[in-house]
Amino acid sequence: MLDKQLVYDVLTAALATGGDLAEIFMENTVKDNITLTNGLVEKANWGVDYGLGLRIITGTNAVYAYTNNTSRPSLMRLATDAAQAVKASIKGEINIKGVITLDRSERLKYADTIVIPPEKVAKTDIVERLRAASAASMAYDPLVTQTSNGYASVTQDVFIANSNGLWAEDRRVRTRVLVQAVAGDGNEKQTGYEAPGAKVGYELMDAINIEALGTKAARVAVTMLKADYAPSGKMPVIVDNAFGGVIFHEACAHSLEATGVAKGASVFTGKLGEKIAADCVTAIDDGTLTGEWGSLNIDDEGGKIRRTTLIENGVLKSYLVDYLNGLKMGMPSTGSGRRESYRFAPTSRMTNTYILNGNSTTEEIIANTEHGLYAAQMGGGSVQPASGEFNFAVLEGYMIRDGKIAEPVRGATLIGKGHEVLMDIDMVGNNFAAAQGMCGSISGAVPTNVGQPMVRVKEMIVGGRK
Amino acid sequence: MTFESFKAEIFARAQAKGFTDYELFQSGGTSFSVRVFDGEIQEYKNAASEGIGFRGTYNGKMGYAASELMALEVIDQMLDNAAANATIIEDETVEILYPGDASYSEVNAYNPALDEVDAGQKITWALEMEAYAKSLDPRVKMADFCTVTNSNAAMSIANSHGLDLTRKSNVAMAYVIARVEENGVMKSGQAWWAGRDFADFDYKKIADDAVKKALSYLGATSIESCEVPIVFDNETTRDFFGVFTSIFMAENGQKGFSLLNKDKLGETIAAPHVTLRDDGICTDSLGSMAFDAEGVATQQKAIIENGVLTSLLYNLKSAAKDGVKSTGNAAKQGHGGAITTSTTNFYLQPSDKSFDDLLAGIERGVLITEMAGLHSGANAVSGDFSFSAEGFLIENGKLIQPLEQITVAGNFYELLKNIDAVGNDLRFRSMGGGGMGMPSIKVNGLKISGM
Repeated sequence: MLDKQLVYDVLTAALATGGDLAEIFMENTVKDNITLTNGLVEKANWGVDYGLGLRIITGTNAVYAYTNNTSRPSLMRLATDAAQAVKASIKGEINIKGVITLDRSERLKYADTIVIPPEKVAKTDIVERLRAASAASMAYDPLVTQTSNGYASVTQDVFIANSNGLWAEDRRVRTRVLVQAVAGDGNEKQTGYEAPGAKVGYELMDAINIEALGTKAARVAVTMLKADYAPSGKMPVIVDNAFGGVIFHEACAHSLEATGVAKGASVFTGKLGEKIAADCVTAIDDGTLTGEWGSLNIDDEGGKIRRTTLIENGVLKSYLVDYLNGLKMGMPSTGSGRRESYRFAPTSRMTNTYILNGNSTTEEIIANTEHGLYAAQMGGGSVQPASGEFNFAVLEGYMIRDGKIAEPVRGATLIGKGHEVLMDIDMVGNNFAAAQGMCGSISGAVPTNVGQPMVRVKEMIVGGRK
Repeated sequence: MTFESFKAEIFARAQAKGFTDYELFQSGGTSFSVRVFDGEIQEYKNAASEGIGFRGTYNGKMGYAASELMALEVIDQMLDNAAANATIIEDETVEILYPGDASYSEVNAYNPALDEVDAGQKITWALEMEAYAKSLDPRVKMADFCTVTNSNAAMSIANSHGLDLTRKSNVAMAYVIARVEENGVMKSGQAWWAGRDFADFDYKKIADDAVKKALSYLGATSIESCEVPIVFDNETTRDFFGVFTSIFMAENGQKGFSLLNKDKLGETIAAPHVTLRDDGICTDSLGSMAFDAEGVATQQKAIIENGVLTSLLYNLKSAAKDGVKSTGNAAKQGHGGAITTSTTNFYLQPSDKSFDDLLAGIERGVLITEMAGLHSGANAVSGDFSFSAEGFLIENGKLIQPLEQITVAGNFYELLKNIDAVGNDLRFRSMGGGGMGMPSIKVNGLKISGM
């Protein structure tokens, strides 16, 4: 994206007053979005995000600057200003590197195999398919009053270079659809939604059955509309697979990010090798999975992507580490340095983060639960990594009575402390599935997969209205 | 390439490609922030950005395209995509480009002196704020996200109907999260300042507030589920209204995504002492603006007056659908987004009751000072919510015990009717053009869940 001489000059200027590593992250991202409301196209948008972020690391601290103007004068000014900030931030002896190298032999160039690139897709075809989802929702039940259906494609071209000689380019293509149904009966409205996505092109549309998704979203909305409010208090909770993995994502994996661990602001700081979860819990973060929503070829600081075992049979094996926090912790990067865009400095983030299959069947888990809540589908949530306190919403819930799934309940929120809940998982099923989300943190919103089989937590606080 | 030359070129080509009218929107600005940790600069950020959004009428429908790269080579790509987008639009209500109002209010949202403050000075303040926070109590483990920031933003709209408007604003902020530890349990308290003049900035006060708050949460427990009177402090009240602003937007009612619509105007939807306002110009807020994202002059208006729904929030399109005038509440997400609706300065009219007045007379109740899960625990369509919360147990008008691991659940529409009292401690938070401010409120009929 930039010529070698300019990259060299910018990196050199960035390190002119000291600093250990200078890094350029440049991107050109094309985004396409279409939204249908009640089966009619309401919004269609196309746009280019373009800019360059410059990071200078000195010791374990960072200076970050970005701009959309990538002309030579603009970038040189950016680098010179940033170097002044470096000067101000260094205490003690200043070590000026002087010579940097961009002559590492390999020039990394990545791109996924995309069957149908987004720019080759006729917008009318997208509309037709989204309309089919809407029609399926509407046909499910007269109680379905509204639908919202969306398509989004992102083609992100990135260029990452640093003063250690890294020179890498990557093209990331992602496609996602949103299928949402609202059921209403006068004063009450409930929603159901499905939002599959993958790191692929338009071929995603052939891999999913969009009408079935429309039907499913409608079924959840109608079921929840007819449901009574969830109870409140402590009880056993069974969380089903796929987006149920948000429990682990929020309750545990955020607290394993080096961002919090490095400064001691995580409940899991200093717990490597210790037992932090029940024996039946093994969890991984795997960015190498082909075509998965959270996968990457390289991370956003050029790091190698890998599969990291986070927890093995309850024992903490690894954190999620980016380069800078790795320096603070004395640990190598796990390829977890991610950012939403050039506007953010990277930090440790998840990719595809899963609890792996256990030994129980779903039938056993339900049959072994006398009374509790069954969360068939989860909504989103959040966590305070310092205390481990999390919350998340149950999108589709049912009571469990005498070992059987009973009446639907709505409006439940699950809260708890991650480190406590991990210990309280007492059954892990064998029906693993993954689901897609956008995960927000200090380096912006990045695509991540959550996933797990059905999991039972011995006891959790359910915040309902009854 | 300058905005003016880019505009001239894209307008000429738009006309040649068959667009009947067109508009160019530009937003940009610079931002600075410094975050310190353990006496060192942990992150120093300096940024400049701009983006342009084009929209134009093609075959009678509006098409959009956007770019952060302002260069000749993207113009045709933008126009071709805008035309293709217009072609698939099926919404029957025509989106209108606005020629402008006769006059606009004078707004002074920019203080040049703010941009003059030296980076070194801001670094020093951040370091002092951290050191001071840590010095306040031995239980303070860290002052996290200790940040001083300032930014300025500019926005321009020009269209083929002669609209040509520009606005500019700047703001500074500082915040810190104090994390305190006792008996192996860590608790956090956050405090912030926002202003347009660093002379009003007192890092000691922010640090004091954050540490005090964090310490007050030590020893927190959960409580048995119950239904008691609840007081939300001004920050959590703002969180609440922030989550549910979408219900007041006419476009959501028109699409069936809100239970409020023009047929509900004149109905009592809240308790009699509830007056909810949206004012484009508001001296207490940093977010005043003379015009909205379509170039319509902003207004001062009541949404709810003494409990009665008096107005919804409109942009040009939703107003045309209801046969009324725009209330100047058009918004755009970034430079490239489609026109939507947003609040300007949105606030609950304060009363003369102090915070202590709200607590007084509560035999047993709960004060909520922190809420989490706002984006996931709310159903903006039905108004149902269930949020994770922290706060204090109230007995006989006094705070007697910090609480954690509780949820507060209810329905926003019902909450409006169950607001028993409104306080006087209105505090605005600026939110990137516009602001939101709420006083503390006392509410009945909500469910607290705990152990």
